[in-house]
Amino acid sequence: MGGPGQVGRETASARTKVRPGRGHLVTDFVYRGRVTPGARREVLISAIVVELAPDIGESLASAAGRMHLEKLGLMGPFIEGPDIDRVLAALEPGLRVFVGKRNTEQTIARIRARVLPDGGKP
Amino acid sequence: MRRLLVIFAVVACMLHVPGVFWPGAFLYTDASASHAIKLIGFFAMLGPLVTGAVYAIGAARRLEPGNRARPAWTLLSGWLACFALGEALLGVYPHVLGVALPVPSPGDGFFLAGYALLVLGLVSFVRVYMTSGLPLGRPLEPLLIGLVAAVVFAVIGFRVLSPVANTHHAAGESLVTLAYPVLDFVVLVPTTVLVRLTFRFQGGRVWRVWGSILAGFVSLAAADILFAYFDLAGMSWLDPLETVGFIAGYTLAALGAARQYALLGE
Repeated sequence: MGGPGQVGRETASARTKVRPGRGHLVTDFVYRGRVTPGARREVLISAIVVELAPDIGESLASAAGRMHLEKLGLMGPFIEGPDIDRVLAALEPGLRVFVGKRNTEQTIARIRARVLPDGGKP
Repeated sequence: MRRLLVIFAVVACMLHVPGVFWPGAFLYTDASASHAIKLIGFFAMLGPLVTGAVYAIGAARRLEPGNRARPAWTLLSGWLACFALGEALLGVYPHVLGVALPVPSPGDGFFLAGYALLVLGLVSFVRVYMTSGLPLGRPLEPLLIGLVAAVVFAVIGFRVLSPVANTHHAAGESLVTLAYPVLDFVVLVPTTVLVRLTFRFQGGRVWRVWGSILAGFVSLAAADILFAYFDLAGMSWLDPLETVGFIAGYTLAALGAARQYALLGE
């Protein structure tokens, strides 16, 4: 992960929180003047890959993450919290078919915990 | 249980394979020793079929109601259960009644029903997986792969099986000798599509599930086709290889079902 300057030229900056065992994945962004929970695009994809790879393989996990981001039109350098939820909601039905509802919910919760502060809890 | 299945299959195969190279050995000429080996082979086929059916229905039940893959796993379990019943009936004649197997036998009805469930199940898996929302290829890709596979297997099947069809078997024998390899070629069509689809899961546990199941189908198809050929050529000394193919095929399919069951429970 780089410094705030790499996020974009707009007004974005990142405050990276360090959580034991989770590295630097959890981040609040100051985006257009307001603090918003979110994650860099690549961080979100990394979290999806880390959590989905044991079940569906690294290559498909990465392709699935990128495909849903693209389908939802989330092409920017970082993704805000509600959009992260949309991406994860889009992943859910596909995963359920292969690993069932319970595993899918646990996996989605782990991805949220990796990329959103306090696992996305308000 | 998975380890037990593998160990039993390996032991059974190790007992059968030498019969091809040393058919005159004591193990294969002595009546009781030979019967014992056949009995072990029988259980090495029946065991995985029963456990595979239980694991597959268990996997279906572990998927929540409404999950679109649930009916497909149920159909797969139905296939294994029908084959288990067919295999059990085949075993009754030599191992319980002590008489030669009639051709066709009542077990063949279960095998044929099993094939119908298997083909339905595989087509259902293809449909569900393609519409799962994961990037598994273009929508028309499975259709194209299926069409190409159907043409290729039809040509191979015709070339391989036409000599068998031209031999002077009784009608019942022809049914048994030809129907299974033909049905195996039919099964290989959705199998090829599923190989392509599930190959994208490489490195994940889903791939290990399907790698086992699909390898099992290939092994079963090879065994059936070899059986048709050996039967035609009168090469009964190669029969142990056919048994090994069935043991490997059923064990691999059961392992795949067991892996899916475990995956859904973790």
